[in-house]
Amino acid sequence: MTEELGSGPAGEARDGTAVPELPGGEAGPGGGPVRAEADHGGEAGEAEPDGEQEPAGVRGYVMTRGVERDKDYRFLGAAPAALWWSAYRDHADTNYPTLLVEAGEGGWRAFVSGIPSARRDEVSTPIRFTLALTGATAAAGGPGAPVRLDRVVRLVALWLEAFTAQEGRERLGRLLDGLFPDEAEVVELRRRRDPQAARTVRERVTALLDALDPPPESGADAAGGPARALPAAWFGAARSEQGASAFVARVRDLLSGEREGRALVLNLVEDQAEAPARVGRESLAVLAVDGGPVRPQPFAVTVPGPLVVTPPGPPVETVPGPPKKFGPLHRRALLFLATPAGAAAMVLAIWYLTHRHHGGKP
Amino acid sequence: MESVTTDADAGPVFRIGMLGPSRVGKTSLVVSLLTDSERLLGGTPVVLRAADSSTRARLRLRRQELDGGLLAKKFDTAVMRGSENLTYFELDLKAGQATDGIRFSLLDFPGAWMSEHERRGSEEVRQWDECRDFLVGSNILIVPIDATVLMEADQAAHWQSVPAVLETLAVQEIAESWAGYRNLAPDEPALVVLAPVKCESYFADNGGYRDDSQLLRERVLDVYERTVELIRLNAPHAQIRYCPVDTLGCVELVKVEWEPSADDPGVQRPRGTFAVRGKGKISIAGADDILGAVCSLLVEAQRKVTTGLAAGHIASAQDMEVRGRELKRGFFRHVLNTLNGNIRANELERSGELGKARALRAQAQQLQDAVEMIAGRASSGRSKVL
Ligand SMILES: Nc1nc2c(ncn2[C@@H]2O[C@H](COP(=O)(O)OP(=O)(O)OP(=O)(O)O)[C@@H](O)[C@H]2O)c(=O)[nH]1
Ligand SMILES: [Mg+2]
Repeated sequence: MTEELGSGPAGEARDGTAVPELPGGEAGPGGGPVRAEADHGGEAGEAEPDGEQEPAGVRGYVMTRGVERDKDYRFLGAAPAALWWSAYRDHADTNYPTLLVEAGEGGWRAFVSGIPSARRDEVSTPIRFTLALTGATAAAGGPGAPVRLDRVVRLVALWLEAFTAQEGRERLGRLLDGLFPDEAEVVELRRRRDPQAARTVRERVTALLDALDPPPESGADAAGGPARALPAAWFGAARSEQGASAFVARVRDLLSGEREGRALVLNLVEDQAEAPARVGRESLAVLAVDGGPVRPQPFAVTVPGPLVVTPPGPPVETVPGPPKKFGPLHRRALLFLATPAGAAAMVLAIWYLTHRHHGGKP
Repeated sequence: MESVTTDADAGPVFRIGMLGPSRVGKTSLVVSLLTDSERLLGGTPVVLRAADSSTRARLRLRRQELDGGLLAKKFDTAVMRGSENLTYFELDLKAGQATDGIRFSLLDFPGAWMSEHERRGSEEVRQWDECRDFLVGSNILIVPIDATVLMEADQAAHWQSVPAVLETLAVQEIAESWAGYRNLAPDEPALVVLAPVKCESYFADNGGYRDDSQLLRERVLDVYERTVELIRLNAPHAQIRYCPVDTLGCVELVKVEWEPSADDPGVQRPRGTFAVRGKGKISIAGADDILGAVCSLLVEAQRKVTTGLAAGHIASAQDMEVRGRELKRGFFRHVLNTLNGNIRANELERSGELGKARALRAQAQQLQDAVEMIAGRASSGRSKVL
């Protein structure tokens, strides 16, 4: 995980807004600063001019591919300023369903991959959508924001349903297909990097959110419900209803600004030891796609580094070594005998050396 | 750009690059090679493992997709999803109990990044640069080729479209750079595998009905003739192999329709449809030839390194012996060096060196045995050294 978040020109907040940091300050795995993002237009001048305020606090980006072979996966119209999810390289394979939400000091961002489209590519493989969303938390956002943030929570809930054998994710795919019905337009948006194209895509994402019904406040995540009783950092299974509803509740808290931290559904992590480390005192909820405990478990205490276990005993020699050196007793006996002999030898040796020094060969 | 990078404690890390355009079959081939290696390497002491838990999980996700796709939807043979980002697989190859593991990295990427007109924006360019550096610096290049494109082209317009569909020029350009780079290190392993995939309908050895394998080979060698030439010219020591593979095996090509590209004037794009044959159980063919070639190359490289190290220890043992004689020359010197422990220390060091050399030689022998066992396996009969 060498990716540096928010570095380079792509990471500059072009609108000069303050960059809110995640709790803990350090950029841990994905724990880079959450910011109100500018678009990543790629080439200079292609990007949408920033500073444009979202009416309802959510700015969305869509990645998908075209049918023809070379029309590979790419964001349509504009890409987010920072490809912050690549910091989760070792924990999530974004080619497969992955969901990441980060929130800190007034801002949040989400990455949602693996939404199935009904379209198929040139070799008949199903095509997918990936969404990247960003915005201000309800606490920091303007009027209207809470409404759309509710829909983002709903989106997360629908996406998660796929793990408990319901069809929520397909529903998202159908809605997106309905919003991008025309292959020629997809190909066109894929190519374009201009404010108009970016706006078109953002409006579609807003339409997607609007099409989702507001999430019911389920018993699990209601104030005082079991999900709220969980500790700030926990680890669970995406396939468990308990895990899923606690996760949705956590996302709600992150988007509302009630908590700072991360909520992650990771497909390369099977147990807690493989999960990203908790950064400082952040709220951290992790669901494993494969494995994970049915009842969410508190995160073990964060340790500063990996525990180093020294293997017992000295390294094994591959071949029997030479006989051991003399032991202390032997050595003393030897010294005793050697002292007079040594003195004599010293004299002889000095004689020998000086003799040699004076040019004579022994 | 170092092809054989060294990991602080794990020895050299070799690199394998998959080189092919979008939807050609890179990821499927990786999965076939890496998740079925136990069977593919059966009868040899060679064991291939994911070197870390994320590689293990990445392979499992892909394997499930390959297996599940066929099982769940009988007639859905397009099972492997397109890649949307760079994927590194970190692997560990062990060729004998006493030997050190051989680390290697394999890179898979979204193939369209190869198409120059398709790279837009600094991020895509940066990621492609990362891929390109890796590919050019690899020890082994595997070039999956969509066999259906070559075999189902039967009009001039189709043939004119082949270079665009298979990105043959981009493949050639990278292969040429690769060869130039390989030539700078002629002692290091160098292998290019031309691997036609989606071959189910052109071989009769894996449930297929007809044998067009001869024609397939001719067409591949014809279309990639210049690429092969450039590799030979720039890296005469590199091995070049032709290894056709079925990554699914249980399918039959039903039809291919060539449709004019909406975006690329003059180009026609083939759309193949496969149907499941029989029970829809995956039957990989030809992958063992690739894995065998890859493993024996890496094991042989390891053997050379090990033999070299052993020779180094022998040489220092010999130095110690000379020094030992020196220390004992003349009565007084002998006495003095005995007393101050020089002779003892030297003797100790010498036998230490000899011990290391002996252990390394034993390892080299195991590696040698492994190479011979890989070579001695029955081949699928499909592959050919070019
Ligand atoms: N019949 C058949 N289909 C194959 C074979 N290899 C790959 N495919 C199919 O071809 C399609 C593309 O395969 P991938 O392995 O995803 O191709 P890729 O080169 O990784 O594609 P990108 O990730 O888009 O660059 C998938 O639908 C596979 O199921 C094969 O040997 N036989
Ligand atoms: Mg792929």
